[in-house]
Amino acid sequence: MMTYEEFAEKKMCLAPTAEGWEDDPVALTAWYENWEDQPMQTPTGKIEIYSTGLAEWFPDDPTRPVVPHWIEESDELKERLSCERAKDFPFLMVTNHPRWRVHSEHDDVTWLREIETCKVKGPDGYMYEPVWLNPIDAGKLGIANGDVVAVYNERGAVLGGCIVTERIMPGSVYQDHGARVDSIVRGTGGLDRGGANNLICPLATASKNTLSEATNGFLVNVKKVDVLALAEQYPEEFEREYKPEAGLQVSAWIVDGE
Amino acid sequence: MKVFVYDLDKCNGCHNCQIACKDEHVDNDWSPIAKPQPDTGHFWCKVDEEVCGKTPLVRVNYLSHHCNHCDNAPCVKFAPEAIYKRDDGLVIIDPEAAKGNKDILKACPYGEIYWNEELQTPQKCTGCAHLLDDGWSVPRCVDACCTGALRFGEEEDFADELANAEVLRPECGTAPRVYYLNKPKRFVAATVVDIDADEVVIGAKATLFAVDDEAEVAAVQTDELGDFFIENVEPGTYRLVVEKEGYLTQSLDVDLTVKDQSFPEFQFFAEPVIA
Ligand code: SF4
Ligand code: SF4
Ligand code: SF4
Repeated sequence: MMTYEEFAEKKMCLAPTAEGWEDDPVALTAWYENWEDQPMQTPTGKIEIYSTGLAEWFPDDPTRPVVPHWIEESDELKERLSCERAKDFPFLMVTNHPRWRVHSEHDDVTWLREIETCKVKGPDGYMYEPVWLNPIDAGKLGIANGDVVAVYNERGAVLGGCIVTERIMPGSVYQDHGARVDSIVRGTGGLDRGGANNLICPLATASKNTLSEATNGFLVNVKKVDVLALAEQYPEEFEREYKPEAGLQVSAWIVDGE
Repeated sequence: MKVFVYDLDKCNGCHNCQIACKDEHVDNDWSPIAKPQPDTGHFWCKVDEEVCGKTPLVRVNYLSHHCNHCDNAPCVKFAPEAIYKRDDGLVIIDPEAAKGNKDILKACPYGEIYWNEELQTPQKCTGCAHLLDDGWSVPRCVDACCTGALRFGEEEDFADELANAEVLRPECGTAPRVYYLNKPKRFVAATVVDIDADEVVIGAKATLFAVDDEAEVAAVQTDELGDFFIENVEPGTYRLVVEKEGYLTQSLDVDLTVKDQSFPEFQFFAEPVIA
């Protein structure tokens, strides 16, 4: 492709697609043709669609079945628009990996926070984590662009600043995960000002026998809130040391602030 | 003389240019070219985001902009004692000579000049003249642009491409040195749906005609999701005709003067079958 000297000079090498790639065998062909000599780490040494390990140890797990398939809801997880709970919590919340952070890291970076779509300034000067709503839903709920809203379910509520946008479809709500916690009321049924929606996502894992999260989509409702009234109700929580450009200060969490 | 050239087809809105500019200038004193930029509130390079159309037929446009280093610069005319043009084309505000003169902000029709409250001086993009003078071939924002959307160099080297380029708000008459390629125009998009069958219609032909001279502007076919996008149409009023064998031809007036148009459910009806 190129000499090492050329590579050192250019600092990059775009590997070209191999000539005659159309005639390459399908991926894993070599394994398929001689799998006995190079077995997988499964009990049978094969790629298992029917999991013999699960069949032996957890044959009756309803949410991690022996053959994988779609499960609309289970005893522990009822987070689909088809579920009974959707009567009270009619929106499907999408919590992506954040665009302007890495999880909760960099939520305090001033140059990122001042990017227009990173935060929404509330009437109290606090920079709220954006909540996207389609104009149709926003209209039904009487919510306007820039309003402070609560996204909630029976597990609790988080606040956010509404961005009314065509980038989200009706019936869905979007708020990045990882905004830093700034709790007004702690615990189940609590209220978080920072918009840390991990606090209201499902607690159940995909199955009681495994640790796979099922937290990126779940049921919520949305309502407009009067944050100035909330500030009067919870003066102590609203007076934590805070800088709009960087967020909640570490000193807010330390006794005597130092 | 130098030019900045943006190819908006390549820009992905990453904001690297905006952040790299801050990294170069915040807290760094590059006198006599520029004094330190404050930590927040200044955008010597700024990426704007615009959401167009209707769910789910949506496009997001990004537009990064900074001082245009105009050849016919109103700011230079307004404060010739404080703002000057270099031989390489860059327009520089002398931070000392401009001190205290907040009116300079109003002289820029593009709003690219910011006020430094602490230093009481107007500031803007310097073209990273301090780096160019130090042997850099491009400014920081250009260096940080990972897609190649933003380039910088001698005007002659870009001559071919500049023939098709645009500048922002040419009506201001300032002769900008920042050029844009592939700046998106308007689009009209739709999902064609056979209402009775509750199915999208694949392979329907959508044709756009100009209203004034009835000339055909573009013709496309709906894809496997029943969608079509007709893009890069000049602002104006048009007539949209959608047709497919076995269906009643539908037509619609679309106004693309001020914004793009999406029709998430463009209703289509099968021709009645005569028994
Ligand atoms: S864009 Fe504004 S600040 Fe820059 S040269 Fe033109 S008039 Fe002056
Ligand atoms: S040329 Fe330099 S000062 Fe101008 S926008 Fe780019 S990084 Fe900022
Ligand atoms: S760095 Fe390049 S790709 Fe990224 S926003 Fe700026 S111009 Fe666009």
